[in-house]
Amino acid sequence: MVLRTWERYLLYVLVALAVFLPLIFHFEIWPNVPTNEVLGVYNTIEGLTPGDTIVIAVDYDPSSMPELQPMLRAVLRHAFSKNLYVIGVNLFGPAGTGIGLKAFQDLGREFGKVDGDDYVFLGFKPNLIAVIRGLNDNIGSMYTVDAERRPTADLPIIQRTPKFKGYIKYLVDLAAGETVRPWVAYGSTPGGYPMGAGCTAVSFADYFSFYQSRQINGLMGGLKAAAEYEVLVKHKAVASAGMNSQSLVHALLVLFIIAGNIAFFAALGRKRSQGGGV
Amino acid sequence: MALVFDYIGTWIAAGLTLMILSFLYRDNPFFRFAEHLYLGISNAFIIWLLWSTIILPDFIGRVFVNLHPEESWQPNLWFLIPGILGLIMLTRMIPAIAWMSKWALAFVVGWGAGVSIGPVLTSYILAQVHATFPWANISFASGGVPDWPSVVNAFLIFICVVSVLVYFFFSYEHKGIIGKTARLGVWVLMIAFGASFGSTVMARVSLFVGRAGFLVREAEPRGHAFSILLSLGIIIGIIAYFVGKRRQRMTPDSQPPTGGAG
Repeated sequence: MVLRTWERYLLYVLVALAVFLPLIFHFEIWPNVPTNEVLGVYNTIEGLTPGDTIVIAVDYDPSSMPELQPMLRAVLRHAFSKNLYVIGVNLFGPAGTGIGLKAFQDLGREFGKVDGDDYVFLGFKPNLIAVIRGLNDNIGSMYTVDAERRPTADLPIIQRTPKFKGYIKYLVDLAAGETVRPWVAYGSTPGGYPMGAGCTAVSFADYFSFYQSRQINGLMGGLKAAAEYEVLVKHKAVASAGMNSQSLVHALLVLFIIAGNIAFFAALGRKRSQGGGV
Repeated sequence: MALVFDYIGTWIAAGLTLMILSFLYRDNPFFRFAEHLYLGISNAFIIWLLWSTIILPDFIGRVFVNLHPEESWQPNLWFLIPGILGLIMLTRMIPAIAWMSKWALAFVVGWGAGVSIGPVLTSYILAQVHATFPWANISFASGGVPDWPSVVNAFLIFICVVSVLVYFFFSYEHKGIIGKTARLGVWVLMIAFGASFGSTVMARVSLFVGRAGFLVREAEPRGHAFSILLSLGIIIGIIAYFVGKRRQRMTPDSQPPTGGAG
């Protein structure tokens, strides 16, 4: 059964309507109830005391922004509201530095935080295994300058936290690719600090085994998890709005699948009744 | 001035987004323009970033030049070694001395293997094998009573993992108990692939939701960029449709245009 051109365009129009209507008219389709996996990250950050330092690894680039940027903003909002110090790194690709730095600066300004004292974004370095091992032992040796090209030796946050091992209380890796595994193997396990992760919905099933084995204590998958985190920090934003569209498209896709199957079996029945076989 | 640039940037981004989406109708010059622009700019941006955040501070700035004259500096000649190895890697492009690149490659592979063996064994194999066994996943309520859903879950994980492993175990013919277990493994794999596919659909829709959110929340408030550009796009599309029809009528021997999404 082949779709005719106008039928294909009709599907596009219906999907477009399902995406745009909730964004334009702001109606909630389905509540985003926080799951245990997302609560794992939230509760760990909630349990930290003001003055503790956490690390957020912005391991994604613009192609994964729609899913992971809302997650980053929600986690940053939570950390800044708890008066935690935040160090940001990017070990995925150079294009992630700009988006990470922007989120840190936007949220930092909103909460009145001082760049370099309350937070710092260190930027990109290649060869993540070597960098992760190096960060555990000495941040300054890996990053002589931060993403804004300021010497890290002069930054108060790095002076307070010279290395990850023994100094940071939590690591959250927001990953578009295969960075969660190296962070577990070379960062969190030898460094002795707990770790949570956020990833695109595509990678969620792959990383779940690390959550089940308790090598990470929280796992956020895709836009849905970002929306759940927004609910937890009581600041519904981009992800919550996006999930309304997402829910509507999912319902539409289920209808498409049912309609497609009905049409397929109806065509099959007609063919058989005409003696044409399968 | 910043506001003006903000407006111009948003209009360009909205226009390029709509140009990319126009591929859903069919391949067209607007889509190709946006595609080539995206590839060119992103590559140029990444090259600049690699130069300014890695090569300059981590190699040139450590070995040759003091990038922060206000601070004391001494060249660290140890960084010449990775620098030279990196340059040697580029000899692959010169056939006469391409063999030299194997030195750098040998260093990378040797270092990688040496560094990885311990952590990979601990984190990827031992921890994951331990987490597969039922006793690692059973939780207990107060009073030492097992939490029964966790008991079911623990055995389900164990049975599913073992059945999938048996499916990929080809030293014995898949008959009898081995065959039945392997069959169960196929079902487990299908369920896992189904879950992955569902997540993939969710991820792809999220990308579209992200662009749609940009058009509605950021482009539209800045001078109705979304509405105006979309209307413009529809008008261009209608004109292109009728021009195409007319050309087809004028040249009856010509083939109908091919293409379209998918």
